[in-house]
Amino acid sequence: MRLLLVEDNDRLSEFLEKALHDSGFTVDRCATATDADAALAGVKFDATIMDLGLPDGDGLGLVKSMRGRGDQTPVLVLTARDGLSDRVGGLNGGADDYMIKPFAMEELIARVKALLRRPGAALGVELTLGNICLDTTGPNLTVAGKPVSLTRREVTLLEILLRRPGKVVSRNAIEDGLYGFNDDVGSNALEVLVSRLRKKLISVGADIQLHTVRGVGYMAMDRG
Amino acid sequence: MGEATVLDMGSDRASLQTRLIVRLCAVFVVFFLAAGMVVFLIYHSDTAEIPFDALADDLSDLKGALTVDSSGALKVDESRLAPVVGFMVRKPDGTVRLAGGHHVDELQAIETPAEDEVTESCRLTGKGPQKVRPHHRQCSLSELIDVNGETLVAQVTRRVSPTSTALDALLYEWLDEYLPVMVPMLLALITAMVFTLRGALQPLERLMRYARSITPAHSGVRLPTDDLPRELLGPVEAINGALDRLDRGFQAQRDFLADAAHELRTPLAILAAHLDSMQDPASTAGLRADVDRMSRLVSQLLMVAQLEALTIRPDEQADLSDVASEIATLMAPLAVKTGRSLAVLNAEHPVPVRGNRDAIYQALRNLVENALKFTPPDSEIEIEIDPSGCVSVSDRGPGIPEAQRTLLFQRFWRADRRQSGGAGLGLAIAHRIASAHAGQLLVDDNPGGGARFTLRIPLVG
Repeated sequence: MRLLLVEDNDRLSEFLEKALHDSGFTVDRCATATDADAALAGVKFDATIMDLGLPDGDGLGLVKSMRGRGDQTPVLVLTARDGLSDRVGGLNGGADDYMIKPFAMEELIARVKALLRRPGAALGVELTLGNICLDTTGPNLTVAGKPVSLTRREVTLLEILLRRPGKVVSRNAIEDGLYGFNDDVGSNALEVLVSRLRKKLISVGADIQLHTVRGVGYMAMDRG
Repeated sequence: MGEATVLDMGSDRASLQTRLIVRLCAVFVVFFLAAGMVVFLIYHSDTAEIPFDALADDLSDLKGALTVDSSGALKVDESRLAPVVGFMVRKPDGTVRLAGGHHVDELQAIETPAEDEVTESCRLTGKGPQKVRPHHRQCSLSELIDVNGETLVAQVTRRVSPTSTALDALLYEWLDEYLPVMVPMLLALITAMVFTLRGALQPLERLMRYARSITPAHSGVRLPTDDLPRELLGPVEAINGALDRLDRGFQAQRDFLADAAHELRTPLAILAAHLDSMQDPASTAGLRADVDRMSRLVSQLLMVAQLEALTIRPDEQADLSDVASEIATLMAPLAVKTGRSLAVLNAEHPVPVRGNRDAIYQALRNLVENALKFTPPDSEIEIEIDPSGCVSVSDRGPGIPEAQRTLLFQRFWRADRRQSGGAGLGLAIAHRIASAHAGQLLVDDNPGGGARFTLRIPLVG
């Protein structure tokens, strides 16, 4: 995986390159918008990490001109600006994601990986969290290596939550995934389903928790 | 609209329009009076014409009015004479046979006329040194008449007053003839003037509208100078110049903020990246937490500075339910990790309020972060939406003592300086955001124990 890193601060650029390199990426570095433009024109990169404030121009302008010529390379924007409207501007300008400086290196790498997966990538077939592993092709659920049987709806619910581990998934999104248009869904059907799945997971010794965020949705999180 | 806006600006202050109308009306009235004066003066100076025709009439009137009764005494029927006339009938030697009317004493000195002659006499009246410009003349006519064979001198006299002539002219000619024409003309003139003035002052209205639209968010607007009269062009260009200078200052401030954000965050980013690249997480964890705290402080200071210029455009809208759900989605993982939980109540229906979504998001986020800091483990923070445009955040912490409630929203204020990790800016920022929206941030007791912060933003419409 080859990345273009556009960052004018040498030290930050070095740390980023090292961390990305350690994670298995090949990194090309640019310090100016002109160099970045030239690099993008000559080489096909898998993703670009772009600082917004460059000495010879705005990174956003670069993203816009990339999109203008049909270049769909995923772009992760790094910005020191945290204005009340800057964040929206960044994404409207064609960037795929943004992070505000300073950021945690671990999260940056996770986001770059997410960007690389995004376009048309096959959804992960094996979802793991804590000691549970869900093979969505089966579907087969194992907890601490032992197979556990669930109903079709329970598996679907668990899959929806495991696809976004540690994140709240809204009630509406879950219901859309669980029920068809013609299904007659009672007002507390989802609550009942979650509560049943929660009990089953506890009874088989799973070390993940299904949290309720009342009024919003549900979240799967490992106990660690 | 014109009057209304003028009144808005202070009803005790006369408008330029009123002032001009009053003064021009005064000028017109003075002009008309002056025109009258001119007529008056023209008649006043025109005193060369002595009314001998009138005196001749008076003399024949006198002759006709003379009668001799049975005792031979002369009598005059004074009712046949003009009332302003003085008359005398005397013998040629000066013995007065009969006299009456006005200014008779003036007549004695007049020479006895020759036969078949009429003596005209005109002399200045008044005592003392003769004035260069006489005010009155006493004019007389004398004639020899025959009454029953006796030759007598019949005399009539009139005092000719130039002032009275002019006054007559004024009263009869000016008032009678000119005024009926002049008054409608004057009224028509004033009406035309009022409309002309309104039209001429129209550019001021337009300037006012433009000036009102200038806010920190629209600081690029300038007062229009096209088709402005020359007199207004100078002041308006001067004001535009002043706005340019202010705008440059404002822009410099904004640029500084953006630069400061960049300059402060880049070294922090390097520091964080350096710490993250070290292989010994145990020793860097504390430093990494310090970097995070510092980063947060920088963000909040920049937010405080940005809020000074925050203005809400009339068309901006945010849905409180949507914002609350997004905050809960964002903050729930952090809450769960620290053993707390979050709930959003009554967010099923949109509650559109007038405001900047990012700013309201920031305010609510600060309230939830604050609640997370104080609510004990295993308790739930409730974010509750009210359709009246309120969103409240309730925690189960110790609550806010009455005495501290006024201090809460001051910058850098903290309940306990040693314990709390924050800088004391979160609530101040939320408070500032509420007031920028013409809303409120209130604090009271959570009925279930703890504190409750309520953010109130005006509803759309």
